[in-house]
Amino acid sequence: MGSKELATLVHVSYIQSLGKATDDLAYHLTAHLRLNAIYWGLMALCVMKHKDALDRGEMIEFVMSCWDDEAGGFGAHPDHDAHIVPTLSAIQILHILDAPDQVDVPRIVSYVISLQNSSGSFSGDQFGETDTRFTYCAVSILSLLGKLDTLDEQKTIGYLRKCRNFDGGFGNTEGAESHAAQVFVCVATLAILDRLDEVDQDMLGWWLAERQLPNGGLNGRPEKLEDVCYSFWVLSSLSILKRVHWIDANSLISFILSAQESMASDLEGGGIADRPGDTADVFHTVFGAAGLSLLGYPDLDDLDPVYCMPSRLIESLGLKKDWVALGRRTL
Amino acid sequence: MAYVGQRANARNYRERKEKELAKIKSYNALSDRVLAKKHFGDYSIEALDLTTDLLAINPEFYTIWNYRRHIFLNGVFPKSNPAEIHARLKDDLEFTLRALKQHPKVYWIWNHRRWCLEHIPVAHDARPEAQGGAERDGLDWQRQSWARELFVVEKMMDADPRNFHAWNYRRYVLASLPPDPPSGDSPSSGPSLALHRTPASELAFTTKKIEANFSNFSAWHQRSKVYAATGQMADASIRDAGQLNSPLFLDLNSSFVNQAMYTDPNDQSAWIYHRWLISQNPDPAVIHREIQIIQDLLAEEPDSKWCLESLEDGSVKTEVTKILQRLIDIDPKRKERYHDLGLELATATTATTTNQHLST
Repeated sequence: MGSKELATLVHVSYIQSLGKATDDLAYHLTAHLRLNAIYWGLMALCVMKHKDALDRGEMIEFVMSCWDDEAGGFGAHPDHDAHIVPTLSAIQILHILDAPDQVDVPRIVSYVISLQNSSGSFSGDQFGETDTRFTYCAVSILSLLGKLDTLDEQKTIGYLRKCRNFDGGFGNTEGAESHAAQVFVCVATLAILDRLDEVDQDMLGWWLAERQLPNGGLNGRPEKLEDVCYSFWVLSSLSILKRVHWIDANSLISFILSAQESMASDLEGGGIADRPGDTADVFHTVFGAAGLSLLGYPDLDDLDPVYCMPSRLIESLGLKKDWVALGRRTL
Repeated sequence: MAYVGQRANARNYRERKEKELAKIKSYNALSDRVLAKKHFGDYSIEALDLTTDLLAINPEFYTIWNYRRHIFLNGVFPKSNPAEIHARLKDDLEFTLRALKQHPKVYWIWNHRRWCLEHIPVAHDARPEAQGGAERDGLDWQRQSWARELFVVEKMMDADPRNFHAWNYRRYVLASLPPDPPSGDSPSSGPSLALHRTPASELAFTTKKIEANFSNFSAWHQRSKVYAATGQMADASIRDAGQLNSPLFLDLNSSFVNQAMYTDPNDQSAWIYHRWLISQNPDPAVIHREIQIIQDLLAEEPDSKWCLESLEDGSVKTEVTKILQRLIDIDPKRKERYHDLGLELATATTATTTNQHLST
């Protein structure tokens, strides 16, 4: 603990080791998150400038093996049902690997559109759980595929408006309490649709700035514990609102670095945990690294906070929005 | 000694690993078996029981919840009468309740409960003479299920009053309750069948939660929703019943908030709510009174960031620059925000002066 630097190489080997952990029960119990996890791992590698540390061909092959031909979307694992979250992961992975042509665009578009409800909300799959996370997935997928024209924007925005709360934040459904991760999905969706006028930016900026706790870490709701993953949810939202400087970057950087497993107990570990002393996982590794990137931590690649993808890639697709992260520092 | 210790550790590790490998083998065998049955469209009771086993081990395996519902819809329900369907769904509600107690934050479990509730059959026996006694159970399957659900979710909230899954689910249950029977139909001996909560009782619910813990922002949030809902209600009779929109009520409410602010001035929950509440009630007399209350608190707690923050937001521009400087000193993590607010104020002041100048 008390580490001052990001142990990039240790984290790279940690991510490489994840796919080989087949003698851990946890590996098998998390098969329903496999495609999401590959996206998290790959994205963490991109941020740390080690994109090639995982085998491109194997990843593409695995993604395509998760296609659910009956539904027209991707499941998280071969033989698992299609769901909008792994479908976004699949498309993100294929774009990052420069293989976007592999997918059946018309079928995915009609799958995504079929998940919109009359209220304007989106369901995650055939059984209809709704959540603003799924709205983000839908809009991000359509945008990455260049098919935003198929979306009923009025209905979509109308629903997000209903999810906005008295504190300027957003919840996962109409009536739900504001939560930093739901703020990210709603604000990023509105950014993609060029409708940030729907956000009370000063109020929400204030609420987001108040997520920072005395130890530098960020929480997701008032009077809750800090967690490394909010480094991304809060900072991405603040970047989109051009207010990242409203939190204290140095103490947040120290907090994220102190949650590195490599520094917590044994140097073999690698990865970033939810908070110092806990066990690392790939989810907190990517969102910790992403947070560091938005804070201008040295020698990391730029990350697009709207899409949570490499900034250069989003720019090359002509999708870059008007956000501001902190300038890259030098060592 | 150290060497012996290492050997024992190595043996422990090996034994643990062997046990883990055995678990992996049996879990994967079960998973493969269920997925194969799914692949072949097996909607038998045997397949249903296997999904129970698998979901008991891994309640996050969403594909298997989907498969379970397909088994019900395509295999079990078509061969069952309403009472049997009802019994099956009650079993699933029990099954998921056990799972929720262990995993209160797994979306898929909450989600499956919704599906079960939405598939409880309409009462089969609707004959008037079937009312009363055991027969009445048959009449009110849906009502009983939803009432029990409200009870269950409120129990879950007792265990964790900030669990947003539970709060969301409770709002869903309240919005989904079947209509209350006309009051005349309620048997005089039995309990009231009215399930719906009035705005006033919902407000009391949030008061109870907040009084148990002033930091419960989830409850403050819910309180804002009660107001928002009543504000939109056109039906004056509902409004009058709780007097929710009356200035008196807001007044009372406000002193309730003051109590929270005084109890722990560092707890942001009440302050965020207070800021919103005041914005809903721009009566100068109320604002003046609130400023006074906060200034009194500030006199006792000169370093209270939230007192200063509220005074900065609510008030007198001449004081704001001083307040912002003080906030920069006591809350340096957010100094850039206070700096930006100061710049904004300066720009606004310049603009006003310019306008005044132009108009003269």
